[in-house]
Amino acid sequence: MRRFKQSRLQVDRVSNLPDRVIHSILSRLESTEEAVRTSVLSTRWRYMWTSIPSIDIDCSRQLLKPGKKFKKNKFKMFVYWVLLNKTLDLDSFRLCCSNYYNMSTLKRWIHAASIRKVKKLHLSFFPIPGEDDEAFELPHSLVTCASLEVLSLFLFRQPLVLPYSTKFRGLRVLELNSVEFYDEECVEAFLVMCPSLEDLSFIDCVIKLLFVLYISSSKLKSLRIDNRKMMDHEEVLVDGTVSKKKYDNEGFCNGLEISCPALVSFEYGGDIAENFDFKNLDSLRKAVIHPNPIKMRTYLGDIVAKLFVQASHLESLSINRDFVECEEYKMELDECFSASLPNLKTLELTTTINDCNMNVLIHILKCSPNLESLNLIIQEGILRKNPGYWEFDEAKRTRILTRHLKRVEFLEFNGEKEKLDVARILLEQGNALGEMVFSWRNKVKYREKSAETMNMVSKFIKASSFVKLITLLKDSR
Amino acid sequence: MSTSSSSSKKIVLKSADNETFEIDEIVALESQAIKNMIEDECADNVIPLGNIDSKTLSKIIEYCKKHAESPKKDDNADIDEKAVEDLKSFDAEFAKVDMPLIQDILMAANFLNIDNLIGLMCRTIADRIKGKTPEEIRKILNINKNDLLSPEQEAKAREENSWAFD
Repeated sequence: MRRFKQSRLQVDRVSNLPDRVIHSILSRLESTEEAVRTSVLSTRWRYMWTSIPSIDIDCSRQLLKPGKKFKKNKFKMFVYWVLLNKTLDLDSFRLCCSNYYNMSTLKRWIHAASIRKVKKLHLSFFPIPGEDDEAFELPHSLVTCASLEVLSLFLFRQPLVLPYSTKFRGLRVLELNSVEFYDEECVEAFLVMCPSLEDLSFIDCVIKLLFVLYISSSKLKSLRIDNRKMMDHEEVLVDGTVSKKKYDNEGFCNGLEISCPALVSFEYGGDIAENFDFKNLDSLRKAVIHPNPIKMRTYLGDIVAKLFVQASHLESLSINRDFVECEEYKMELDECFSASLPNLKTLELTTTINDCNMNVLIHILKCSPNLESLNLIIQEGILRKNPGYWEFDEAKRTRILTRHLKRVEFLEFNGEKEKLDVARILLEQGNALGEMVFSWRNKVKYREKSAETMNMVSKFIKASSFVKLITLLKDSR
Repeated sequence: MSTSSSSSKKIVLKSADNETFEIDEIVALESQAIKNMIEDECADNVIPLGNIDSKTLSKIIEYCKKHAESPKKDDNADIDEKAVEDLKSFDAEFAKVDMPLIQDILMAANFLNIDNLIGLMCRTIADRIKGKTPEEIRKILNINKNDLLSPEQEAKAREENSWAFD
């Protein structure tokens, strides 16, 4: 045990700490560059950075500095230097290098990382146009890297090609972001290559020639398909600048069949396929389905019916306005929601308030006899002004809706009278209500009106004795 | 300064400046080192902590108390989100102290083997040196002047890693 004198200000205690504590500080810095810069602090710190088990190098940090020109060769040497100097196995390696390097350089980096037994790899790049084949072929050394557990690729919508007859033996998590596949067979072949896969995400991916995508995986626990941002995409141009680009809405799937007996969580955002086919969803517990406003709403009823029948063990469901927007399948409501969700405990609905949406909500509530908690997130959007936009005339409806209602959040709240009316009704009726949140976005209005509004709301009659009223400023978006 | 409540078992900690702190055993168990001592039955009445002064020790006890009271993550899969939030804001407030005290707490937490607290202090230090030049970091951490690199060594280090210094 080392004793030290009480002269607080004079002692350099951090340098006296064991290496692992200093590593813990270094690994919490933002980038590998920043950790490397500590090499000049003192002799104690000189080589500390070489034994942090992670690398995070992103060329865009340099590009964002004003007045700096990107030094391509220097960056390349630095990546090599860091990889060569690492003394421990790599826990994670994140490299974002835009379109500055060709495939052979990338392959060498990936090879070096695989020798360092990398566990998590995140690559964001696309090869130099013209210099390489257009498609990015996964390097053999990456696929055969036995230590690799997590792979995340961001390819700026470049095509991905797979090497033949190899398998990712240990890969558990795969996230493909902005990747293009030629046809659905490429995707299916990819899944066959990953026998241990548990977690799969397709974010803003495109399949060029697509009929029906078949996702079948014996160990898959979590599947996420999200194309919501696809329409408006950023692309790094040849000169390194970023431009906003609109894509044609080719979509990810015309048809989707899912057969994953171990699937626990399913998230879907974006355009809904025309045909959905679910098999083996017995283990599904959590579903998030936020379709885009869609042209083919007619199919939705059918999809909902299929999903609900298959996912009878569902415990948590999150849906949005476009899921419940029911004009087109109004006629078949009873048919769509005939299945029972006996295990459903939490339901989250993000929507505007109008009659139709509330009708669908009531139907879902009817088939969920054991629901414990309903969260209603009310969007800014249009509250239907027609009289009776919130029809509470039926006592039965009221009872069904308010029995479970635990939390209500008004998004983009601006003190509107219509919303306050809704708040008043919900407070009067919601005897299980625990929390009502008013999220303001406009700072000025928040300052001006928040206190006054809360004062007003606090005077509303409340059916629940424990309801908490919260007002806050949400700056995001 | 001492704390007491009647029912549970007590542990007494003694700081370098001979102040004693009586705390519930459950609070003391946040420290893996003390836990080991208790399990090996080599902690009788008073545990002397000859390298931790009373100012630091009282901060550490404050931290352990709060964390011992909060529901543990492994107890329950769906822990109360509010408890997590509450602990987060406690940690944020707790870390708002000057650098010498942060370093003292970190040293003591390392000695007492309190993982969460080591993490919190490392994060705090990292946050305070983020984006700073080496010169500024030396000042912030009060790096020992006798330990500096020679001008030649520093030039070499900067050259080797020149990308990072641009």
